[in-house]
Amino acid sequence: MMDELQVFVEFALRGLLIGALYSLMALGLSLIFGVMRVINVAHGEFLMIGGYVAYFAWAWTQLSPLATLLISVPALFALGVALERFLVERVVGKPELASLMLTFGISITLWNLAHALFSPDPRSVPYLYEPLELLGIYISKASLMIFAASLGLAALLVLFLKGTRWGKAIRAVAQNPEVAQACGIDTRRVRMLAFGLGAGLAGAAGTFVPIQFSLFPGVGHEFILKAFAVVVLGGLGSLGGAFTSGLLLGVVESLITFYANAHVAYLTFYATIVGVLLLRPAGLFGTGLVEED
Amino acid sequence: MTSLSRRGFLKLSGALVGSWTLLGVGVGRGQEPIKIGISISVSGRFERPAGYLFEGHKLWAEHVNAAGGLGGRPVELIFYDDKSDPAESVKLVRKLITDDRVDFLFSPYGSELTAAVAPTIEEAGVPAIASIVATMKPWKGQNAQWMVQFSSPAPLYLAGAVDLAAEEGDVRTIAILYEDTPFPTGVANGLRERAQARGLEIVLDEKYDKAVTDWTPLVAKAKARGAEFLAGGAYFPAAVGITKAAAAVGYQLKLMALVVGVADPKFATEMGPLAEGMAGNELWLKVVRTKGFLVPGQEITNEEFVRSYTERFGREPEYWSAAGYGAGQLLAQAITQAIEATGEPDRMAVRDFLFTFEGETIYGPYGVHPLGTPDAGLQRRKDQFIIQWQRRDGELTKEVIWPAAMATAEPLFGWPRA
Repeated sequence: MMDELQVFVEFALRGLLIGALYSLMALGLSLIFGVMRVINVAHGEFLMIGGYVAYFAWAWTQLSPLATLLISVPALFALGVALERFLVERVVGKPELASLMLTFGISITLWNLAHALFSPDPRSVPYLYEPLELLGIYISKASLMIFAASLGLAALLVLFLKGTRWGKAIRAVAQNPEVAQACGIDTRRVRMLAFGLGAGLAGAAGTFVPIQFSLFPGVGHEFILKAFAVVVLGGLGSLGGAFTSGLLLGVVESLITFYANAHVAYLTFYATIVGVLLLRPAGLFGTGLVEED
Repeated sequence: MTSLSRRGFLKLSGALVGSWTLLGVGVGRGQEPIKIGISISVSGRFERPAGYLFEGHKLWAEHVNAAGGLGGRPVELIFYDDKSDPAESVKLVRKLITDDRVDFLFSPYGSELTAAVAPTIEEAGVPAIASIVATMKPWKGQNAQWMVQFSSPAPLYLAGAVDLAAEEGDVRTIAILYEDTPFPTGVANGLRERAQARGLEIVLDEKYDKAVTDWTPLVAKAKARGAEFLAGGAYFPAAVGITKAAAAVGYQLKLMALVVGVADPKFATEMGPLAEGMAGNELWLKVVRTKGFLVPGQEITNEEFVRSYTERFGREPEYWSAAGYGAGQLLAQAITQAIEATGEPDRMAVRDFLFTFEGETIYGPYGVHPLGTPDAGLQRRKDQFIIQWQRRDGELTKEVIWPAAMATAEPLFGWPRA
C-alpha cells in the first residue's frame, strides 16, 4: 500500500515538474490571445527557435545552460516584436481565419528555415541530469531547476502585469482595446509588447527543451498541441488558468502514463480540447486577462 | 574532338559507363564471363549510400578476377543508373534480365527500390541477393523463391543484446519501450521473441506515440516494475531522451540497449559520462573480426577488406561498402558450389545454395529461412553487432561486445557507470 502511494506521489510529482514547462509555453500563447485575439499557431516554432538560440549560446560561449535564458528570451522578444510590427499587426481585428492563416504561414516558414539552417539532427545539452533523492523518489536536478525557473518567470510576468505601467496597459487593452485607446494608451505598442512577451516566454520554454528533451526543427509541433490543450482548459486568455492547467495536465499525463500507457496519456491532450470545448467552452477558469484580480 | 561537343562527350562517356565491365588481369582470356546485373543509384537521393555499396561490389569483383575468377571464368558487373527511382529500377532490372541476359543479380540499394523490383526478380527466376535492405516486405509470408536478404531485418537489430544479457549479464527482467512506427515495432518484436526464447521476464512492454518528447514517466514505470534490462527506442532523439530520463529517475540498470541512436558518434559527445556503458547496434564495423570466402582456397578478413578498400578508393569503407563486398562473397561461394556440383554456374544450384547456406562473410553471419517456408529468403542469422561505449585511455570508444567471438572488448554490466 505504501509502495502504491509512493508510486502515485512520484508520478504526480514528475507530472507537476514537467507541467511547469507546459504552463510557461501556454502563458505566452494565452497572453497573445488575450491582448490581440490572435491564435498564434507559430508559438511552437518560437519555442524551437528559442531552443536553438539557447543551444548555440551554450555551445559557443560555454555559458551555463540556465544563463542562456538571458540571451534566448530577449532574442525571441525581439523576434516577436518584429513579426508583430511587420506582419501580425495587419490581421489584428480581422476575422480569426486571417490570423490563423498568417501564423500558420509563419510557423511553416520558421520550421523550414530551421531545417535548412540547423539540419534535422537532434541536439541536446548535458546539464544537471544527476538525480536528487527525496523520500525515495529520484528527481533530476534539471527538472527541479526548470520547475523553479518556470515559476520564477511566471511570477515575474505577474509582477510586470500588475506592478508596472506597461503591464497595466496590457491588461487594459486585453479588457477593452477601444476604451484603453480612448484613455490614451498606445494600443499598437501594447500589442507589440504583448506579442514580444509571448514569444519571449516561448523562448524561455524553448531554452529548457535541449536540457530536458532533444531539440530538432519539428520539436515545436510536439509542444504546440499540448499548449493549446492547456490554454483551452485554462480558458483562452486567462493567465492564471493557463498556469494552473499546465501543471494539472502535466500531472494527469504522468499518472495516465503510469496507470494506463503513453498512448492514452497523449490522447488526453486531444480529449481535453474536445471535452472542454463541448462542456465548458470558457475553460475551467473563464476567459480574459483580468479576472484573477 | 573537333565535332564532339562537351555535352556529346559526356553523353558518349555516359553510354560507355552504362555498360561498364570489370575484367581482371589475372583471368584467362577468352573465358565467357559470369554476368551479374545491378540497377544502382548513381544519382538521386540514394547516391551516397548506393555509391559505397557499389564500390563494395566493384572491389569484390576486382579481387575475384585478380585471384583467377570463379571456375576459371571472370565475373562481370553490368550496371545502370536507376536515379534512385523505383519505377526506373524495375525497368532496368527487366533490361538486365532480358537484354543483357545476366546470370545473377544484386538488388538495388535499400528497402524502397528492392521492394519494387522483387516481383520482377521472382517472376523472371534469377537468383538475386538483396545486399542492404531492412524491410521484410519482399519475404514475410511471400514464399519467395529467388531473392535472399543479406542484411538484417528490424527484428535482428537488438536481439543479440538479449542473448548477451541472458548469457553474460545474469539478467532476469526486461522492459521493452518502443515508438509506435513500423521500424521500432519490428525491433521490439525481435526483442520480445528473443526474450521469451531466453526465458527473460518481460515486466513492461509498451509502445509510445512518435510525438513523445518526455520519456521520464515511461522510464520511471520500467524502474517501478523492476526491469534490470531496458531495451528498444527508435531513433536518435529517443536514445538521448530515454538515457536522460533513466539518469533523471536514478535508474540503476544492468544493461540498457537502444536501437540506432546510441551507435551514432554524436551520442557520446552529447551524453558525455552517461554514454559510458550504453549499448546499441551496428550492422558492421571496421574493427569486427569477421572473415569469409574469396575464391576456392582463399579467404579474406575484414581487416584486409578495410585496408584494400581504403587503398583502392582513397577513403574508408562504410557499412554499405561491406554489405556490397559481403554479398559478393556469398554469391562467389554459391557459384563455386554450383560449378563443383554441375560443372557450370547453374542458376538452380546457386539459388538452392543461397537458401540453405549458413556461414559468414566479412559483413557477419548469414542464413535465411529455407525454400518452401512462408518467409523463405528472409534473413534470420545476421544479428547486428552489439556495441557499447566504453572508456579507453580516458576517451569514449565504441566497442563490439557481442557476438563474443567477434568482440573487441568485454561487456560492461551496470549503468550508469559514474
